[in-house]
Amino acid sequence: MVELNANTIVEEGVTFVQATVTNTRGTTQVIRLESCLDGPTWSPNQGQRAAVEWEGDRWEAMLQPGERRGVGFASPAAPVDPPLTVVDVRRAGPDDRGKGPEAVLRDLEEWRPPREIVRDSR
Amino acid sequence: MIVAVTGGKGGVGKSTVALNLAAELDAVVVDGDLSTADLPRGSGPDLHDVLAGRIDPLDAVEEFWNVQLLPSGRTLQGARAVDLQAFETVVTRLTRRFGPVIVDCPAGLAQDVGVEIASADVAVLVTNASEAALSNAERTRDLAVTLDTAVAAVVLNETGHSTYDRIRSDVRRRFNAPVTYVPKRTDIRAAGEDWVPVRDASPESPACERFEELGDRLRACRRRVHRRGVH
Repeated sequence: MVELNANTIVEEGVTFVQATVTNTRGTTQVIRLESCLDGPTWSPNQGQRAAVEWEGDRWEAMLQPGERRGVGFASPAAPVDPPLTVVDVRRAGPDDRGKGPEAVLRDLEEWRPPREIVRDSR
Repeated sequence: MIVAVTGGKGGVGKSTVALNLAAELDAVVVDGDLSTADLPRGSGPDLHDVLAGRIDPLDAVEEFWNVQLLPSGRTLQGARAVDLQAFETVVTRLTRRFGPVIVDCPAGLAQDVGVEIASADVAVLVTNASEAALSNAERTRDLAVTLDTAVAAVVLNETGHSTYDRIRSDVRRRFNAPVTYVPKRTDIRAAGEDWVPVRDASPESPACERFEELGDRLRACRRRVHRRGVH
């Protein structure tokens, strides 16, 4: 499934949530998490904009098998346990990837039988 | 269930693992190496003929030492006539008729390997404990993941128990898949030279247990594949 480990610290009235999420399955999964805090989610920024994984209280990302990601946010709300929960896990499909299996296969080196084919058989 | 036995690097023992796994699962083994066939030569039509659409796959399977085998062809003309895109239809037809199908993939990471991995339900990565083989296997694993074929097991071939014990948790983390090992033994090598499964050539060999364990893992995967409604 998915492993989620989270902890919180409070500093000057702000709750900071730090978590790691791990895809323990053998296939790529799209994982959605949600803040359990009763208040606004202050998601991290990438430049001028909110990090792409975040939309409101929800975080969503595609994780390869075995991949682990760090997730963090802050909130003025009081800490709760757990601060973050997994709301959805689904196997990634062609729509989730930029590139479908057909395109991946096309990009591989073309297979051509070599001239000196076939070592003599036993 | 269709199993691609792969790993990237040549000479790590993919064919030996494929043959012995086929014996464990009572499966058909397909020699997927269209250029440098490795499994025994058949006596009739071969995979080249099948992929050229000249013959039904079921008519090209023959029995070789209690194992059902679809041999590869051995001529340049035959290889040139191959339509790689037909591979998935061929193995699907085989699995419907025979049950489990083991594909012994060629070395490398070209389209032939890609098509064979993409046609499989799960992949078994064969490597040895050397970093060169492990990093080849890792690239193959990344390709399998991109093609949505789960890795059922990593086999550390020709690896002693103490080395296996020392590196297995690292390998498990690196591949995110169960890890098993097959020791280097003269009875495996001798059986392999005649293309006989170890359990037929040396039923008392401790190596038989190693292939049984791999077979058990694949049987567990097969149940999951069935639950997903595939084959």
